[in-house]
Amino acid sequence: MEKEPPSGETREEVETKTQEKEKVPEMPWEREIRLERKRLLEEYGEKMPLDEETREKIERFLREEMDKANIDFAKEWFKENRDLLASKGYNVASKDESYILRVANEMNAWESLSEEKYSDFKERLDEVGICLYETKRREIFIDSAHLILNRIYHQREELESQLQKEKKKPPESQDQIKIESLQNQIKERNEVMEKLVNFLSGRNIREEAEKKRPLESKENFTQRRFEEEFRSITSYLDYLGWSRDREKRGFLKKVWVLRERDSGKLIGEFKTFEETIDFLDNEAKKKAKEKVEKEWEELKQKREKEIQEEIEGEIKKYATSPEKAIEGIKEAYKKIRERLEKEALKLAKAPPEEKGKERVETFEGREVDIYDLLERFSKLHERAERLEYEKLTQEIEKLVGEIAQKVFPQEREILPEGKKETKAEEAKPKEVISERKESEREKFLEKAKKEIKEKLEKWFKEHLSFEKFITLFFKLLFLWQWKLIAVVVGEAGFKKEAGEIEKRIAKIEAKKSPKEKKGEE
Amino acid sequence: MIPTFLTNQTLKNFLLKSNFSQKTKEILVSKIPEMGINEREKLFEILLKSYFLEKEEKDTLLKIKKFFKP
Repeated sequence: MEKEPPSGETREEVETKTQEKEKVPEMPWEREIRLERKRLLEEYGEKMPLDEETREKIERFLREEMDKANIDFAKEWFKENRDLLASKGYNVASKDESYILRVANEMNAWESLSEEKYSDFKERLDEVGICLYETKRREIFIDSAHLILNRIYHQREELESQLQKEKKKPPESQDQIKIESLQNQIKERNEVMEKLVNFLSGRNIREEAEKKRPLESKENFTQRRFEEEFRSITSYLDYLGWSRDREKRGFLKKVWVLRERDSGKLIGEFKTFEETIDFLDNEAKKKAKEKVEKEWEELKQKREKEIQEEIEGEIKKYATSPEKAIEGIKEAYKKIRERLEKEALKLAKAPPEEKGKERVETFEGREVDIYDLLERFSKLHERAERLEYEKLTQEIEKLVGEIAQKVFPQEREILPEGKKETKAEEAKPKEVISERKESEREKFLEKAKKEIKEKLEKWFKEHLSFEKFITLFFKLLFLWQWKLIAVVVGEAGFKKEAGEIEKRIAKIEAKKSPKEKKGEE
Repeated sequence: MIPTFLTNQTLKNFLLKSNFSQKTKEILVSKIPEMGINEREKLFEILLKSYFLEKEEKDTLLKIKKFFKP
């Protein structure tokens, strides 16, 4: 018997709490999933829209896989923490999955997912979680479509194996309910996989397979085969003949004529082939009908089997070939890149903005290697989770210091050449302005560095996506650069330009989301 | 007068390191000196997106290699 949990709460209270936790499971990977990880793909990429029925099925299949991954993790964690659990009075000998899950929940086991030894479980849960997240949003990206297809394919293989195992049992020991349930689960998965392959291939694989195998309508087939049967079989039907007397009855009117084979004597004239056949022996008609209908069913089944085989071949090709998935993903990204290139080329085609000679000259200046910056951000971002918080803040501080020095221009560089001697400057003693500006600049840089560092720490702490982090970082740097430029331009007496820059700053600030603004406050 | 991120050299360097086609790069490099502030900001944003995309593609392919069961 399981021991009462050592918290002093009754079992009912604990179970209620556990149920509450299960309703809203709070796991580290879930926070990441909530992020707009694929903002760019949302904007530019092709997505597969999901109808409600397919969405519900995929969600159910993934949820089952996630439950399995959760229980696998909980079991592993339970096994590895036996001493701790025993000291807290839990029954470490239990094999009951629901008990293990409950204990894992109570002990916040999922927080251990960030530990290196559980990284495989974390990745497994993350991946299913991301697919599940996209499914909930009613549209999926190509990589998730490949992964979902791959997962469902292997789920189906597992179900097939269970089905075969059950069918191998002697008929009296077979569980028919289980067989039916497995068949239904397999059928559901096949339907979903077909839809996924249609999206991934950009084709309708069923329609293609059907078109390759045209099928005569049942009516035409039956009639044609009936005619063939009665023209060729059994001796007593030898006298049967039929023809169309179009000249007599009009071009489109079909008349069935029954004659004696030897004499050609007219026996009767009928409106339909069926009426003609009605003259024949009932037993012969019945046999022919059964034969023809059987043929039709066999033909249809053979065709359906061939179609299914072709569809299965396509599904297998997409569901089991990583090369195919990689090829598809590369192609999808190529299309997105082409869209981005088109956007960039539009800029090249746009008429040049109105600008004076001196403004053009200011576009020359120091160079920042953005790629190098991005790579450094990227490396720090990748390491962020593994670093101790103190170490992370040290690294952030170091990086921010370097970037601030590299990016914020010196005053002499941002002052327009030949424009320093303005009335505004002439009115003040040069050395005073220089000192004051130098002091302002230093203060500004210190303030900027401090704020950037604080932001970075906060963003890393919250596990912001790389894309969002970088975008916000550059926005921040742009903003402060403009602010610095506004100060210097204003000091140099370029009031109009300073006004324009202020407007630009306001524009950048206005772009911030309420969440960001709130964060800043 | 523009931020360091938008100078001719910074943008040119950023563009040349992107994975845009050679033809696109050549056209854009020749047009950068004529671009105004708004166009430069837009180009910077597009190049940033292109970088994210490149990274996302690499991550996605790694993910497929890792999680896709043959």
